[in-house]
Amino acid sequence: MKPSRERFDSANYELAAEAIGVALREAAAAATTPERLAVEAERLRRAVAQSRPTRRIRPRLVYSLAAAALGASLSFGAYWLSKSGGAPLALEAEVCNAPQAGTASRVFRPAGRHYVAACERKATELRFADGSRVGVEAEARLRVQDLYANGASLLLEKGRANVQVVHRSKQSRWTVAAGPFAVTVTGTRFDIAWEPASERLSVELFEGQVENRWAELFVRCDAQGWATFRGFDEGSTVEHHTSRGTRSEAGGCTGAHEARVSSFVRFASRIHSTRFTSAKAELDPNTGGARHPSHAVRFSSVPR
Amino acid sequence: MRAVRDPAVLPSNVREFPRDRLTDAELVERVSAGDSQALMLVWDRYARAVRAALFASLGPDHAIDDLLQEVFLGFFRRASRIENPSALRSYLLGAAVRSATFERRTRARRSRWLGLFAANGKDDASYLPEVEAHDILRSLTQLLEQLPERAREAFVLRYVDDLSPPEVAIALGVSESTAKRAIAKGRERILVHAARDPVLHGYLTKVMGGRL
Repeated sequence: MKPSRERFDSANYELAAEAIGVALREAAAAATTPERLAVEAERLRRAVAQSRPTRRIRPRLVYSLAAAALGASLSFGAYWLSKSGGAPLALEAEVCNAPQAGTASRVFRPAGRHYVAACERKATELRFADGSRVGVEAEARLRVQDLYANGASLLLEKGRANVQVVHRSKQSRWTVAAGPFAVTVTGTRFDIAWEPASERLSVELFEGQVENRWAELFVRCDAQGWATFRGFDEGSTVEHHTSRGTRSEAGGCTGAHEARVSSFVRFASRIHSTRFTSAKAELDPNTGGARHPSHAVRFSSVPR
Repeated sequence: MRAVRDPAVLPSNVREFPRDRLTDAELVERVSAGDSQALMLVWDRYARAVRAALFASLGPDHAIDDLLQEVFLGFFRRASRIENPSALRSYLLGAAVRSATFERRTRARRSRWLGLFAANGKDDASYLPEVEAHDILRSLTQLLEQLPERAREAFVLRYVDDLSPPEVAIALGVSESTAKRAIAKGRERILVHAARDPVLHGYLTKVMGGRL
């Protein structure tokens, strides 16, 4: 019989489809006898006896576990980085404003290190990959001795530098050497000036960087010298820690304070202040021209 | 209040709630706790409908009973993961049509690569009803084979198992509008082909009283 080409009336589509459904349902019902279903039910019962339902792992629990695992791995990573001194790669330094045509600023990069010689009238800026900046004022000379993953070692040979260190962690290694001194700074903004002729070091900490913190000036000196502190507020306390004991002065030392640095005495001064307008330390090792590399200055801000 | 499951611990004047009156959601909860008796209640309730869905999707086939077992065993193992326990019927029928589709794909792959299709036991003689009905069924099975998977599943769920479009959507895991489109597509294709098939055309003319 030749197949018909006619289509069903669209109004009867639903009825025709239901009729087909009924035909399929009746055929299925005819093929599904109670005996067959009973056999299959027994088969299912036996299969179930050997099977256990799987427990649902709640999404919230899964997310919590995933978050905990992620947090643990991040913590471990941070701990490992801090213990290993940060990323294995060193910071990158970039010298801005120099050299330019018409200026006398010069930058030398022997073996990847920078020697910055600022011109007579224009400052030069050094930018580091962690956001720290060092401004080299006019006529100053600065050398980047080493770059680490968590800091840098700078040598101020002459003049004044404005250092702004971004505090990343307690493992920061920022040092600025000048003459016999080495200034270690964490997370502060300060100026450091070194006069080679008079061998006079001046470190000035600026307002805002040490607010509600105490500053510590640590001086280790094998020769006699003077340390002068200026610029902290009224009510501040200065503590001198020496190998012979601790001596504290309060109130009267406001604004300026001088301490004699004796030879063979480890000397540390802590300035406790609720607020610094600025803290300035002037150090005169009075070495009579001889260099003492064991001199060390640590001028840092530490959270209370 | 939680139902007490062990009749042994019930007080003498308290009887357990009749199991055959438990709702689908309550049955799913019990099955997810490993209650095999609850699973058999689900079987009693839906085995025929699931088998009809498999039968309509595959035609007379020796694999139907195996797939039926798979559907209920799968439900037993994954009952705790069912998001909408009250839609148990949709869940089981959806699982059935997906199983049938998977079986079709597997056979198509086999026939394409290994030439094993002839050994699949199609047209199991034990299922054959009377001659006329068998002719209709064979034509319908051939028609359904020509449909796209989604349209076939939707047609079977809608017209063989009598699910509403929202229930079809739940069973297929799609939106309601997608389910409606699939139903319409399956229906139109089936009817266009049925109009050209003398056996089906005669059957439909007879059933609908000449209103075609």
